[in-house]
Amino acid sequence: MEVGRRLTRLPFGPLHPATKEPALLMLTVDGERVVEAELRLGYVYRGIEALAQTRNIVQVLHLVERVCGICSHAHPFCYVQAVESVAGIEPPGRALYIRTIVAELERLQNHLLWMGVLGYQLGFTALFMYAWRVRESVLDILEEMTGNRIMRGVNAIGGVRVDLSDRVKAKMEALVKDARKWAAFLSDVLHDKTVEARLAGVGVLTRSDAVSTGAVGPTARASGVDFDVRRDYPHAAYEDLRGAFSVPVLSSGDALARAEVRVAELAESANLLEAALDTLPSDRRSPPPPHRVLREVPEGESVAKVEAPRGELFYYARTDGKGFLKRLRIRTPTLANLPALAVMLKDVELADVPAVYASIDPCISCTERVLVVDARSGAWRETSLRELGKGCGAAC
Amino acid sequence: MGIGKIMKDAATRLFRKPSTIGYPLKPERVEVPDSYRGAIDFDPKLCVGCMLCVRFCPSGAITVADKRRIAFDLARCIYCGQCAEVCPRKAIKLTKEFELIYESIESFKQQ
Amino acid sequence: MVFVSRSRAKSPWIFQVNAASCNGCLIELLAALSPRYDAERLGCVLVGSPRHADILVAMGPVTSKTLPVLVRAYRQMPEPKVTVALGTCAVSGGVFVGSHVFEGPVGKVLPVDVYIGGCPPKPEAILRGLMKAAEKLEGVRG
Repeated sequence: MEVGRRLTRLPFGPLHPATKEPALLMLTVDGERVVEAELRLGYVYRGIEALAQTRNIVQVLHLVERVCGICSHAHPFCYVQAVESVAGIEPPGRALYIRTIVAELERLQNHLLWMGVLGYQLGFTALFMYAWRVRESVLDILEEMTGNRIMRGVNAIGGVRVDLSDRVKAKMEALVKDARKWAAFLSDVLHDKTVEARLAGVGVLTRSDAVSTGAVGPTARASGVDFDVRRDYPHAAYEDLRGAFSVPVLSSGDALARAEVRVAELAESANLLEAALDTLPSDRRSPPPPHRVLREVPEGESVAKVEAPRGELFYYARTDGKGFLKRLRIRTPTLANLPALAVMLKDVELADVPAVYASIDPCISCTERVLVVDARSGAWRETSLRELGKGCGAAC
Repeated sequence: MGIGKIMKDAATRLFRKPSTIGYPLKPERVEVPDSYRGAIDFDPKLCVGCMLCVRFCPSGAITVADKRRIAFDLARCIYCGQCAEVCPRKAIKLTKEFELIYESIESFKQQ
Repeated sequence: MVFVSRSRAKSPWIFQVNAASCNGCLIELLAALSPRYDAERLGCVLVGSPRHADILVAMGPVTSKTLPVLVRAYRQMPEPKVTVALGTCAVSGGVFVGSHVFEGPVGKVLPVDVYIGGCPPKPEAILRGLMKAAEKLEGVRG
């Protein structure tokens, strides 16, 4: 550190207007420039993995749905895949398609939500209003299909709890057309010069940094990492739909690229939805009753991963053969993206911090199951980003 | 060019029906789909006391009162519909009632 | 003074505290401010500081780490103030009852005036709840 340079430590949170979720971003700033960023988590830690060990497999299904209220389909989607592979249950083809369709609708609403939040952070409230207005039409369809806007409860072990009626299907087909229009419109808005001025060249994550920090999802794809779980490890109906979508990859790695990747994914989700609705199988079969599931799931362990809207979501489940879980481990995409955030925030103007922070689409409530317990003193402390960057070690 | 586009969208919106709903200022019915999972409607006459709902409730909202009679605590309920799904006699239904606004926590209790 | 309290109820400013919520209620609260529901026509504005706020909207099961944050935000609010517990977790803890960091629902920590149940509540219910909170605010003379 140079002599005479005055560094200031600036807390950004935990209740900060720019970050709706409680997370404390400790910024070390030199004037207006960020020298170092450190994210302190733990505010939304709810002990979900420990709770999962006290409840039966079917109850955990609803618990993991409440890990995150935005990607509330991705979590149970991944969880049922892990449990089904332990039990060797093969869900009917239609159920796999319905799961895929809901996953894509969720991606649509998540990216629109994120687009709105980014607009809000930039002070571009018209974009927030636009994105959230069109998002309502996705939520209307989800509500009509599943019974709730947010906590949809679609998944069951061995199938799905809802069916797709012709009425909803027709609405979805109309939505596909609308989604393409939104994607074209939003892509135009992103290339406006005022928006570009705020986002282009800001918070750059190079490809080598993206690889070394283990970034996933749109954050990594904007930095040139060509990886998508839907294509590379196909699950559910993605195997059949492989030809229906492409994975948008950009190389510039700045906040604008991350926004562009997400807008391109809107259009790809529309393509996937269209293909899935076209080839929807008709083998309606309700899932096995929950009390039979509890009896039939043997002792064993398994992993599953899905592409959540924010990136790769990973579940590990070990069952005890009596209908309970011995261990559940969740690795969320935001956890993987946080070390990349520390890299991005280096040398960023203070005014750009909210934009960069929003550009990885952080979902703190997903991530918050990491808590370091010091076994000797029994004291708890939250993990800081620096420790996570060093390699998980004790934190996990 | 982008701003022009969003301005054009905003300008045409001026002459269209507003997307804002009248509720709750105007007495307007809210469109709730039939599949909506709202407040629980329990018919004790149909109940056979199998306790499957108690076993599968993820949040412990269903408790057993005296004489194997079950009671719902809507304050704990997460409206997942698991109880209605496992009930062999369809004694539990989720209604379209979504406005659960009370001033005391006791008001959430049913039966 | 009637004039002041009536004006206050016409434009209640909201401060939200996410006390370990899963984001579901948070997103629905923000959706209530989006064009479809437009809570701003009720005079509600989401503000960034508890010192400007009249209504505290608390979400989520209160955990040991968010408890001091929530209490501090409540203490910083000027009188008169009204607290709204939004969502099942804030009302009772919901699925998180039994967790080793669960400190009790919002009602155990703060005096709650309006409870809005639902997981998450529909934005319509949130609007109705905010209206009720504004009515309460008029009743509380500061």
